[in-house]
Amino acid sequence: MSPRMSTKEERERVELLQGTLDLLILRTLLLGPRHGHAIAKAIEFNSEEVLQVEQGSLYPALHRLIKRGWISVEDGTSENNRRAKFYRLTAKGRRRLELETRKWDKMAGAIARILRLAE
Amino acid sequence: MWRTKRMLEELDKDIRDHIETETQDNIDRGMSPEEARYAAMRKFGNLTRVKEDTREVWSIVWLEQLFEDVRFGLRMLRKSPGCTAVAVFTLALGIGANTYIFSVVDALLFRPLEFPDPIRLVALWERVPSAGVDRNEVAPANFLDWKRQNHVFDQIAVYSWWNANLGGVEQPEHLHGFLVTPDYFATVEAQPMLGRTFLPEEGTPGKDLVAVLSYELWRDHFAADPSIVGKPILLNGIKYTVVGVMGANFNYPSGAQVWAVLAFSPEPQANRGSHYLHGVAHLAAGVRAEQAQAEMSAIASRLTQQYPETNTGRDINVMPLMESEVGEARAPLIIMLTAVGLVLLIACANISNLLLARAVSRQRETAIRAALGATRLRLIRQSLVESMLLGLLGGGLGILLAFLFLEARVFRIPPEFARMIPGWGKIAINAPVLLFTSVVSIGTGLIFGLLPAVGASRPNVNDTLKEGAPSAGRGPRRGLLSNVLIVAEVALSLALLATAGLMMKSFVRLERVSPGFNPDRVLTMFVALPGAKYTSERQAANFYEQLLERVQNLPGVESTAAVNMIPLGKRNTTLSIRIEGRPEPKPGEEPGANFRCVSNSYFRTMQIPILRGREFASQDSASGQPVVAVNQALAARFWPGEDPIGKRIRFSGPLDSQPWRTVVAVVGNIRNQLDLPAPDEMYFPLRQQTRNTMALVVRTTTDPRSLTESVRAQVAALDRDLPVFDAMTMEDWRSLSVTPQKIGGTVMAAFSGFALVLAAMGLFGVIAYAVSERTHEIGIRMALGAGRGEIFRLVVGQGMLLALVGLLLGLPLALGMGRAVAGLLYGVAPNDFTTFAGVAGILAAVALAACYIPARRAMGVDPIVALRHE
Repeated sequence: MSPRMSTKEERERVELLQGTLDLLILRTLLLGPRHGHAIAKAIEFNSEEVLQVEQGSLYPALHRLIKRGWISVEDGTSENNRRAKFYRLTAKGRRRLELETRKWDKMAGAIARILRLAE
Repeated sequence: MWRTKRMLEELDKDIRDHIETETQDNIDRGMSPEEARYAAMRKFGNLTRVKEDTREVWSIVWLEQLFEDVRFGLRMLRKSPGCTAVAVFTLALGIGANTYIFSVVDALLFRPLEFPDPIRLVALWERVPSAGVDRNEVAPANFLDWKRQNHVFDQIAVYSWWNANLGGVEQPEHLHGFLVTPDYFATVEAQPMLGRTFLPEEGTPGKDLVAVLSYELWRDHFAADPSIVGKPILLNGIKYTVVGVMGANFNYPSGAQVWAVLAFSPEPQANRGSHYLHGVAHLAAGVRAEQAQAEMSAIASRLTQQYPETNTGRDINVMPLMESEVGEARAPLIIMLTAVGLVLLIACANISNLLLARAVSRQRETAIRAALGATRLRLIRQSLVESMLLGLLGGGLGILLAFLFLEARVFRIPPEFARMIPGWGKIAINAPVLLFTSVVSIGTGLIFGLLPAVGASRPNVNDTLKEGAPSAGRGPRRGLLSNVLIVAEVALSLALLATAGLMMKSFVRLERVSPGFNPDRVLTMFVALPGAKYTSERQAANFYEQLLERVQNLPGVESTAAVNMIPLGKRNTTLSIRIEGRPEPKPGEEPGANFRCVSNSYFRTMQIPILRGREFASQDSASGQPVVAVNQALAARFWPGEDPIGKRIRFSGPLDSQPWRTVVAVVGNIRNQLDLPAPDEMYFPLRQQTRNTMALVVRTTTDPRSLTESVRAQVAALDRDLPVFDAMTMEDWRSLSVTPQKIGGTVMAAFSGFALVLAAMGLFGVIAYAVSERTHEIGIRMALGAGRGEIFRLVVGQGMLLALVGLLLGLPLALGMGRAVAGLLYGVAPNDFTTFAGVAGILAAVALAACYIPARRAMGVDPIVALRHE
């Protein structure tokens, strides 16, 4: 994230839960193929900069998803006219995303209910 | 694979692009290029780790890393050859000792006898609780009832010892034979390699002249003749037909060379008084040993009601066959295995300490690796791989040592006895032993490597890498760990030393026990007269008297005698007796005593004192008045305070026709086993009670062994078909009878000695290290006026404190070990004070010596040099 952030904001950031990064990548790619840096930016931007991704950790995650066949990789040209790798969601990945999203909603809902109960 | 490679090749470029894009973004946001690049790098995280993690996604990375770790580990081991050599050598001794003991335990305890289905095999014994006997041989009539009445066994058989003289060959030879009921082989589920085993109809007298050979006998005496089946062989002067040859693996009962049929003629079929058979049975499908025991006990109580005379107080003992065969060896073997395991543990503690010290000197290396992105797990794994390499190196060398030790045959047992120990012939470094050793080697590496590995995996990167930082910053944690290890070493060593001390003391006590006769310069050998040729007691007695006369005239012979059972031979025969003038005892409560048949010269030859009365003489002949000599123990039991001479005894049991025998002598007690009190004993003159198998005892004026051949020649001169066997000296018998204690004591002494050296080395290492660490401090102390004596006390005090704590903690451990070996001790209490005080003293003295050298060095510290240092 940019170094201009204030300390207060830093503190409100949330470290990613184990495994959620995969889900976020899949969701980002639903909107179309992107290269690595763009994915990182998209996650940060869409979460209104609450979710902090250590950008490096994106790469093992991407490779993991490729290995599982949930995304594919192709060569393309980035906005600033560089040749770059573009990652694209596969049909298998799309199904996976639906499944994982449903599961996530269920779990998040359940946790939220419990936490509210406790109040 | 191909895709993996391409993916990874492009990873670097991808990451570069990523960081450049981020840098560009930052510049766009108004940062200076330098600032922008730094921010992008920081945002990206640890480059090396990202790459490694990504690679890990694709590859069987752990395998690659393992290779890397192994290569690196080997390099590191080469780099510090001294440390490596000490560790490998220590491990080789520790693992070698474990391998050696395990090879013995594996052969003797785990796989002594090979049966297809050992779980279903049981040994059957008679049990006489009132006499404290739970493994008495079976009487034939009882066995026949068991066989008829039980529903729990699908096969049941008995066997008995059989002296078989192999004739018709160049030199007649005595064979360890067994007579077995025809279904014996089916019971133990053994198939012959050639021919067949026995048929049911061969169990009737007259049809029973058939024999099965052991593999070894067939190979060594019959040149592995494949057409041996159907050929005749001469055993005890009778022609037997060979019907089969067993495979090399079948060796039951242990040491068997030939099997023939045990055919019951009508007389033994009714005999419930002579107990000479060993029972073995195969449990029927679905029957558990406890069920079998219940039914057999029911049968035993029925027999008691039916035959109160002979069967009162007699139960049946159903024992797992393995338990019956090797049960006695279990406790000592387990103790040795435990002890040798503890030794290895001490060795582990020592090497742990060594590695802890080395880890300190390698702090910088570790810190660099961590700074370059090595995870904690990776650091731990790297150092564990190193220690496992050490373990494997030590293990490899250890196997070699164990092999050499086995080959050296440190503990010699005469082969004719060794062959009767189940599994003895199988002691070897074989596949199961190698598997055990590999597991132990790797496990050892893990054990001693874990502490240093975890300790070193938390490097303080900042401090360690700072310029000018002390190269070896000894943290308080490492010191504590070392101290704990040393204390543990001392404690375990004390336990081992105490155990060894107890066992050695017990052995020494046993060695000092007088057997009641003089075993010096006595040659012994057995002769078994075949019943077919020597049909009457008279003939047998004649033979032995002639033989004694011939041997007596040999040069170098002081005196000679014959006896049916050698003292310290561990075998004995008990007879029920009646004392004249005493009321008829209730069934099951008849008094019994050991008996021996001896020639007239026996007491003189063995130098057993005749306390009252006279020695046997020529008037004690078959036609003379029946006489008996009793030992002191028997006299004291039946005629306390009276003169036994002239009192009368007779045999009881089914042989009620036995005449009264007059006591003509009271002789000194002799022991049958050195660790047991002398039993009550009777002696009969050879002319009145003879056995076909007797031992010749010859007291010589020279080395008894040198007379073996000339005595053998005298036997051959009387009967050229007659072999002699078990030709040994009385001293051999004595030493054989204490062999288990001797082996146990020696092995334990060796182990505990090794443990002591290890503990001393460990203590020395830690104290020496502490001194080198504290050079600076010692220098300051001296500069401030501390005397050399004070410094000496400081260093020695530190070491002795550790030793003392170890001794205190080791004491309960040692007492526990003492209790565990209590059953093996003779004449020494398991908490024997002198032993404990002695070994504690030795340990303290050794600890003091181990601290002395570093303390001397500390005293020699020059304050000026020490303060300038660093």
